[in-house]
Formats: sequence, structure tokens, C-alpha cells
Amino acid sequence: MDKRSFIKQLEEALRPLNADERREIISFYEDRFNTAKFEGKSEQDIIKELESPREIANNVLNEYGVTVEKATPSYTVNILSIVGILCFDVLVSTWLVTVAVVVPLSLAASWFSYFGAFLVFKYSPFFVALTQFIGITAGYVIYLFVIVLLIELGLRIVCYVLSWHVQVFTGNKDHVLVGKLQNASLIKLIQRWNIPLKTYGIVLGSAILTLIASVIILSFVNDDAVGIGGVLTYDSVETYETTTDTYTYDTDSVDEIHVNFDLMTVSYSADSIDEIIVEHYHNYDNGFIENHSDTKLLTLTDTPLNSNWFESLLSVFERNNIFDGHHVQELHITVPNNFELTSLDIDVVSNPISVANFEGEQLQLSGVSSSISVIESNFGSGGINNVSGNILISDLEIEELRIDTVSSVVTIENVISSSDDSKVHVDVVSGDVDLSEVYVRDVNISTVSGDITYYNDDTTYVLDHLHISTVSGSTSHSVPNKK
Amino acid sequence: MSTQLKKGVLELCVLNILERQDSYGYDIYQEINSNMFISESTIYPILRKLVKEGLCTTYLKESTEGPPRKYFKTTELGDTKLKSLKDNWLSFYKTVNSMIGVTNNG
Repeated sequence: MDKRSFIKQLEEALRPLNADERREIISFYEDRFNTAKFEGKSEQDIIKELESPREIANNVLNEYGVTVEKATPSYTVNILSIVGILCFDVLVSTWLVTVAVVVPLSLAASWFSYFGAFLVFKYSPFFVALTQFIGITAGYVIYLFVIVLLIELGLRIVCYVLSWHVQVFTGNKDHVLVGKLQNASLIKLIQRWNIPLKTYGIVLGSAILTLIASVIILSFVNDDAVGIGGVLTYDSVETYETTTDTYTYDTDSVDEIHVNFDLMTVSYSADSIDEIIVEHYHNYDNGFIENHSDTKLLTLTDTPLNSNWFESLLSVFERNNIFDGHHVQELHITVPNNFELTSLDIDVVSNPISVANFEGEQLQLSGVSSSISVIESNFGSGGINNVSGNILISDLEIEELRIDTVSSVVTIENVISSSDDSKVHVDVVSGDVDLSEVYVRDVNISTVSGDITYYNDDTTYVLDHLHISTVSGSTSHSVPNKK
Repeated sequence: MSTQLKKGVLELCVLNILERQDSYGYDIYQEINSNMFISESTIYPILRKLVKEGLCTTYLKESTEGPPRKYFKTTELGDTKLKSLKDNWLSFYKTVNSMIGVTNNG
């Protein structure tokens, strides 16, 4: 409480007196404050010396022969006010109070997302991560100030609405609760820590400057190196006008390789077990293409050779939306010959997919809005579905291949079976379906809008089943079959 | 001393102080308070009442260690009133003493 509110409260409490009397009494107390100021006492000191405004008022009113009971104005509950406040509640309080409570609290809760900022250390080079972290921290400090102000605003709104309700429903403008509610303030609570205003100013000011500085620093750092999914560390980053950039992925395992590219062709290949070559091709609008080649030694001493690293690599791709057309124009995956990849599963890709030298049990490509080529591979069962572009299948040894829902041309050539029960099923194709040199036991082509052709050079090979049905275009084939 | 008893004689005490020397509110309070405990807020209404009844007048006086203060000074009416209050008090004092069996000469 300060002098002003003390005098104000006293004035309020002395209301039963007439204005002259009231002014007289108050002038005594004003004198006290003024005098004390000259004696070097603070307003707080004086207030401590004095009785509370309420006590003073009681004493004074007693002297004037006014009893406190009489002093308290009779409570008048005004029906009109109540109707008004109820209307206000329905129309305004319902959302105003909700907003005043929910918005600051949810923002306050969201502040704790700050702790996620530590993640930048995982995904960015240390210097970059440190700058990001400092910048984020500064941002959250500023955010904290905003939140405190919003909570204060929300609290004030809610308390004023509440105190107004108390006033109207009790008919008592000076109800104890009113003062308490109107005095409720987070900032007053914080002021009790007695931290000078200047300190807050310094903290806020330096946070703003830090944020600006880190943003400026980060804007000079190569984009590829920034952000979640950026490269981890790099020895030197030069401008893309050179072709000698060397990125060294400082990781213990392959699943930590993160590549964040924009409009470039990416090629990953593993030539030997302990080495992965990462090549980046930047495709600029002007047609200028660069090639960055990196080598990473991969040690898999304890882990038996399996497809784990490859799968995790793909999952990293997926996590970082590498397959999203915005980042990568084309993705080539060449699996080393001595690599036992059992399953390759690629989902929802907007760019061309070409699979070569895949030897495993299962190949699954689905939701591809561009073309697919699968060549020189050997696998048990393959499924390709929901494809918008052309499909080229060539030089395969398979047990089973099912292709369905393709809105373009399907070409299958040079396929041999790896079992007695091999089959190729093609279903629901908008374009043509061309098969040549497909030596499997069972071929089933149905629901095709385009033409179908199927020729094998070796006419002595007799299929168990050849089934072609529901075709809008022409059908021509010269393949002997039992059925 | 009980509050009720104190109240009755405060007017007398205040007038008595002012008859000896002009003084201001807080000073009067302190002087009385050094003899018997009263709360500051009871003094001010009494001062106002004295002025209102014409027993005192006020004037502003510059102070060396602060802002100008409102000084109180008794009027002739006030002096007369003080005398009668003193007389009243003495006879009241004697009466009560004799009633409760205390001799006036101690």
C-alpha cells in the first residue's frame, strides 16, 4: 500500500462523514505523510506507524458519534443491476472469462516446450546448435514476459468481473472481497521479490538483443547446416560455387545421418560394408549441377550384417520428408551386392523411384505419384500399387509380382521365376500393359483401359495360367498356356 | 485506563496543551500519548470539534524541518471552556473519590 491508496481507502471508510469533516481528517494524515517525507521516512514506514484506514475510520466515526453499523451503507440489491449482470454474463463473461483464463494458461503451458530446444544439439553442428539454443532461449525469455503480462491481464479481467458480481449481488460496494479481488495481481506478487525494475529491463533488453544477434548469425550460416535434419558437423563449408565441400558426418551409426536438401538429387550407395558414399547433386534453376561426394566409414563390428542400417536410413528419410518432392527431385538407391536387405518398403513418394540390384524377400512400393523402375533385382514377392507414373519392370527373378491401380503405362520385361508357383498379376491400369520375356507360371491381367501386349521369344515356355479380362483396348499375345 | 474514561477527558487534555503553547496535530498526539496511551486517530476528530465549536483556531506555520504545518491555538472562548472543564473535572474527581472511599488528599 502506498500513500495514495491509503488516503483513498481512508476516504472511502470515512464516507459517512460529510465532505468537510472528511477533508479535515484526511488533511491531518496528508500532513503526516508530508512531514515524514522531510524526515526521510518512506510512505511505507508511515503506513506501518499508522493504524489501518479502517481502524482510523472507526475511531474517527466513534468520536463523531457515528457508529460503525450506521456508517456502513445499507446494502441495496438492485434487481435491474442483477438482470444487467446476468445478460452480461451470458453475452460476454462466457467467452471473455474463458479467453482470459485459457489463453494465458495455455501459453504458459506452452512455454515448457522450451525444453525441446535442447534437441537442436542433436541435429545441428555444435556452433550452429549453440547459436540456435541461445537464440531460442532469448526468445523464450521474451515470451515469458509476454506470458506474465497476459496472465496479469487475464487475472485482472477475471477478478474485476468477479468483484463486480460481488458488488451487485451483495448490494455492497465495499464488500471485503471487492478490495481483495481488485487488488489481485501477479505483478504485485512478483514485486514482493523486490527486484528493481531496472533488472527486468536489462533482462528483457538483452534477451531481445541476443535474439536479434543469433538470428543475424544464423542467417550467415549455410542453410544446409541449419535446423532439425541438417548435417551434423562439417569440416568446411564453402559456397556452392566450388565442388570441394566436404561434409563429415560425425556419427556412430548410420541412423544418425540426416540430410536436409532443397531441390537436389540425392544418391546414397554403399560400395562395401564399411563405407557409405553420400553424394549430393544440387540442381539449380539455371541447370548448374554440382556433385558433392562424402565418405563415411561405417563400423558394424558387433552387429551382424543385416538390413538394419538401411532400414533406419530410410526411416530417417521418411522422418525428414526427404521423399517429399519439395526436398528431393530424384532418389536412387543402389544396394551393394553383398548386402542382405530383406525388405524394401517405400510409401508415399512424389518423385520417381528406381530400384536396382535389390535382392531380398519383399519389395513394396505404394502411393507413388511419379514413375517407378525396378531393374536387375531378385526378390520373393513384390507389390506395387497406387502409382501415377509409368512402371518399368526389367530383369527380375521373382516368385510373385502384383501391380495394381496404375494410371499410366506398365512395362514388364525379362522376368524369370524363382519358384514353380510364380505369378505376375496386373490389375486396374489406365494405360497400356506391355509384357515381354516374362517367364512365370501364372499371368493375370485385368481391368485395363489401354492395350495389352504379351510376347515371349521362347515360345516353348508354356504358362499354367494366362488370364486376361476386362480390357477396353486391344489385346495381342502369343504366349502358349495350358488354360 | 479504559477507552471510555480517556475519551471524556481528552478534550480537556488537548485544550490544556494548547493553552500552554500552540501546537500541531501530531505533536499534540505525541504529548498525550507519552502520558497515556491513545490512538492517533482519536485526536484529530477532537481537534476538529474544538475548531468547529470556536474553542480553537488554526493557522499555517512554516517549519524548518518540513512543510508548513497547521497549528492550533486556543481562543478566549477556549480558555474559558478549559477553566470550566478543569473545574468540572476537579469536582467530578472529588465526587468519584468520595464515592469509592478514596480521600482527596491522598
